Amino acid sequence: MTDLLFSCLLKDSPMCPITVNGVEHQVPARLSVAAALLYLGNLAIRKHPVSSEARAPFCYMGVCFECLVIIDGQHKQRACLREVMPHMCIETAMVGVNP
Amino acid sequence: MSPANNKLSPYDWIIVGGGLVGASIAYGLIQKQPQLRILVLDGGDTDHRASVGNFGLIWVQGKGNDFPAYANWSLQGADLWPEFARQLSHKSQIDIAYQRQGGLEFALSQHQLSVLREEMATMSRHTQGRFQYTLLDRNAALALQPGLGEAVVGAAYSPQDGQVNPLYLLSALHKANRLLGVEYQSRCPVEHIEVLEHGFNAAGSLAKHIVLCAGLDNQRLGKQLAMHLPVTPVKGQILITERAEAGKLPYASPQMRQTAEGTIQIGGSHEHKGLDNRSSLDIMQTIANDAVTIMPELAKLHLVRSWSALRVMSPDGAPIYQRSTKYQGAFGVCCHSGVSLAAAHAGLLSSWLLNTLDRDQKILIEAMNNDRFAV
Repeated sequence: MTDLLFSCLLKDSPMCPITVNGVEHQVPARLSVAAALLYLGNLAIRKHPVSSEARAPFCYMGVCFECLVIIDGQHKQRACLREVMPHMCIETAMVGVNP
Repeated sequence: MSPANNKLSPYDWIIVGGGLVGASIAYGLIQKQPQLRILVLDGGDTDHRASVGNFGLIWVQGKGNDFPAYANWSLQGADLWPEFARQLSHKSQIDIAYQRQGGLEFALSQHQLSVLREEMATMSRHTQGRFQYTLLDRNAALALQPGLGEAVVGAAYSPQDGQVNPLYLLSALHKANRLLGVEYQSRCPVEHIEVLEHGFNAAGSLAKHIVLCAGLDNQRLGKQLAMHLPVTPVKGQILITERAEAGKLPYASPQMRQTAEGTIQIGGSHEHKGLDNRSSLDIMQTIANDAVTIMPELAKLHLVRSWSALRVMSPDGAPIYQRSTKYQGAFGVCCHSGVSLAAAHAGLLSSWLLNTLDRDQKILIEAMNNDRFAV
């Protein structure tokens, strides 16, 4: 589903290696981490702390705080405000770690 | 209904102001007398809207310590809340997250604790013992709220305090009012109210009765209807944390509460800065420090938002319920407790406006008119 959304980026973009929950991936460079996670097919990336409901990035502009992830060991990072960097290590709450 | 028609056929009531006070009164009026034609005139988004900056407490402790009528009114209002919330949620199909688990007022010194002890006793006396409370020493407070900072020497607990999501409350009132047939116009500032032979003209709409619920603008509009409604702005600032696990704060307090969604709100500031409603770093630091003194664990949470809003404050902090003696059918309602008193405004104040209250209840409400400010 997300292939179509990203097809224009895929054409000429250099790729960037990142690790998500311990698995290595190649994503188009210059994406935000939130967009990269979507590109990789991760819709829900977090669980609501009260209801445990699956949550996904909503605003993509730093306001909703629904996209919190761990980046290179730093907790509570807003994935939408960080650009992917080579060998960036991203962990999401869906594998049991609370960001 | 087009504006042209409004002019031909007057409303029974115009409510000036669509915040919590105006919306609660409209909700009460239409439920008591469904045939009434009611129009709510609301302002614009850049107005000073106390109702969208609210903390969300339904608070009894300490209200009306120097004013027995207000103490009784606050308690009555809080007691009406459970049924009001049930009905409103049912009518609007909006869960307003009402909870009445009780509230804590923390003391950070023995002196503060003895002041609380005095206040609670006074309040209980004013209400013939109907106000319920327990004074807690540090250990008893810790049993209710684990994790309290070392500076907390005790607390006052009242099971009658509660909390609600104030934004859902406002939205539920508006939705219910619409379903019940109340008419509503937004972006309709009322600059001038014209007194007619048998009613009033506000922003081109006519009505037999008019209620000013315009918050800080009541002072200006009141003069036009020969009512002295002395209200001034008192700024309150609020900090919002990221969502946290449920149950961090089982009881609400004036400094902090946890919403149903997990957010922790931090507040409790009072500033006299006129109509300046900006947040400021010094006050944000103060309220954050106060909150962390009470609950050190909060320091681990990220803040995600802040805002401030202007309370609508009378000289003694109590509401003003005023009937114009010069112009029959004109009323003014001022208060800073639009949430706490929402059930009282819908349930009892609307009956006062319709003149259907029993004598004792009428005396209680009229004890809160502006005669107390006469010089």
